[in-house]
Amino acid sequence: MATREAGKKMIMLKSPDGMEFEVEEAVAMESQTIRKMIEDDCADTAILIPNINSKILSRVIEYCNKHVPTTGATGAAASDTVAPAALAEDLKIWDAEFIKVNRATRFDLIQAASYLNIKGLLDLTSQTTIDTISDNSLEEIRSFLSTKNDYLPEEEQTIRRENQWAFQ
Amino acid sequence: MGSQSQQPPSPPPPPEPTSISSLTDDLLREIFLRLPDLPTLVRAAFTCRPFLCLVRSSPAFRRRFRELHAPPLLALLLTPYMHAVIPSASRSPDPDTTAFFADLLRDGDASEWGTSQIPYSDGYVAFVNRSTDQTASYSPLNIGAPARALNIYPKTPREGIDAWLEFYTLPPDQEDQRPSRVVCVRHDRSWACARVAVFSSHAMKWQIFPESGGFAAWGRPIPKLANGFICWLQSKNCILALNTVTFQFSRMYLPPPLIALYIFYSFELGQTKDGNLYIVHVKEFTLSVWLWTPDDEGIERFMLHKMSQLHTVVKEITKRSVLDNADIGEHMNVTDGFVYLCVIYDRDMKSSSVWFLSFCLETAEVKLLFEKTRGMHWPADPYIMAWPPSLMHDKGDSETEVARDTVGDDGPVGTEEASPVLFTALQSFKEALIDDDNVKFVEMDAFLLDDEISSLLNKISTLEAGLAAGRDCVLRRGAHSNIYGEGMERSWWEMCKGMLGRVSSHFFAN
Repeated sequence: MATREAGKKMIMLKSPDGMEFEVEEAVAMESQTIRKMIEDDCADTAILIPNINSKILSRVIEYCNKHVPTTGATGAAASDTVAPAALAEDLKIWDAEFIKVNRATRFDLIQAASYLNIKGLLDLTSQTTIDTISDNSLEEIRSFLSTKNDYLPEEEQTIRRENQWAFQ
Repeated sequence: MGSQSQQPPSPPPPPEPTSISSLTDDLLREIFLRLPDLPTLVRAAFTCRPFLCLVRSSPAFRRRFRELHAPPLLALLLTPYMHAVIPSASRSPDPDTTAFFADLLRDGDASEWGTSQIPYSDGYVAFVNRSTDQTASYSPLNIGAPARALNIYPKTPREGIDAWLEFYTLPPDQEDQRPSRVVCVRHDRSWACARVAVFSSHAMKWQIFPESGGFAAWGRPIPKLANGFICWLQSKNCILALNTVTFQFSRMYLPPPLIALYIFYSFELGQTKDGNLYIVHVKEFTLSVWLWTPDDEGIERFMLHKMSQLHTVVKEITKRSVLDNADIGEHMNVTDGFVYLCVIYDRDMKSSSVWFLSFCLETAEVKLLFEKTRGMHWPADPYIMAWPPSLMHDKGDSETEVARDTVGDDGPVGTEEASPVLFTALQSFKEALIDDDNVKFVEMDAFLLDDEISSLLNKISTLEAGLAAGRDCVLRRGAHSNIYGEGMERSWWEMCKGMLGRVSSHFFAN
């Protein structure tokens, strides 16, 4: 997908497992971490993204590609041809599809979004986790988060008694 | 949240799928900050020990969470007559809770002071001395506000003395290591001056500041006491502010758009976490925030800081397509970074409806607290829930974490420890001032006798204990198993969130 277009600067992103991704600079700069590297002139021809494997990195790039503001030649904000509301609606639907991933991938994405400092992606990935926590009982949350209940039964009883107001 | 600069955790070995425990504490806290409300945080925190520790060990997280989430509303205390609107799971008032609130102001004791029949306003309860007709008013309600106020008026207004005393309890400020203090302000209309004396719980004595001419406060005090300021509305266009660090008075002129609209209830004062005062004003569904800050020329004044249009969100929440017959902005309340608003439709008709909303000043998020179909056209003080102790450190937790946890975390919420310092301060008030050259500060005879002080303070402690008990009672109701046995479709908590206003019980009427 990374075809060179006139006037668009390309950046090479490398994952630790050796894959290389050529992306537009504007797309890469959706990540504040990469933006800072580029602005500080720390970026060589290729930027190594530690800790994020190629599978996750490609998803992240997919997200950034979709979310990079559509800019004209002047760099001005979104085109007038599409109504902003419709654009936002479109993005929302796309996001909802994008986040339909398994649990492990989502936590990987959270970590990646945090490391790369991509606010939108962090919002999206965390929110999905949050929604599950919000609507479910303690047991369901535990199973969803794959956390182990390390409370003794009597402790658990006390917790429920003392915090009854917060439990359904 | 600033966690991005940190070294990410080392990658998990490939065969092990990533789980939530692979996330760093900072990242987890960042996710927890997005939880919609306190109950959800409690549930999340209690899924396992590490999560609970995460919440308990970080005062910064708890502060941030409070900044972003309006605290659970336990009751609304309405003025006049201290009606209370409390959460209820059923359509009829719960007898236990009703009894608690009803007893708060009942005059049963032998105290000199009784509660006044006169409706009070601005969150103040009025007391009258049975034998002397002296009056005092006390504001216990603003649980979220950092200070409590007691006003004492002379026994018999004498010629030449048109003065009154105001006592404000300021909570300890652990960050600046200031102890709790009581500030006494003497206002004098005829002399057009105000004087300040401060009692510190460390020094255990009063310090009297020089007289400030020309600073008498007219009109009403603005009962929302910001942490660093006590404020009065001095005149049509001016707020008088007493800085509680320097104890200097200053005048703050209202921004021109607000002068023209001057009505008592048309704006509220608040304070940012950096200590700057701001004004919140709502008119025609536009909420504006004016921040006291230097202008281009370095002169401090109220500058327009933010404006939010509430039309759309109010229409969404109330499901009304037009806002023609709606009022908003009266009787609002600013507490801890949240504006509590009340939207009234068809005010003058029997079918009037009221929605209570909270507006987060930081995120501009509007949430429905509850709605009510019968008129409730009075100022309301939100009675909010304190941060649950279970989400703070146990004594059993490790020392280092406790040490990190001590910085100003308990917040201004809660009713504990409010009266003792006031009590001590009042007791020493008379002696300290009589012995001094500052007798002029106050002509004590005109104000209080020793036994009256005790009597009044007893009354006040009863009131505060009652409010605390009321809060506990509301919480206990949540735990009451009967609620679940009645085939209620929704949990108590949802009731609390969504249907708080179902029952308006009359609690405090004599």
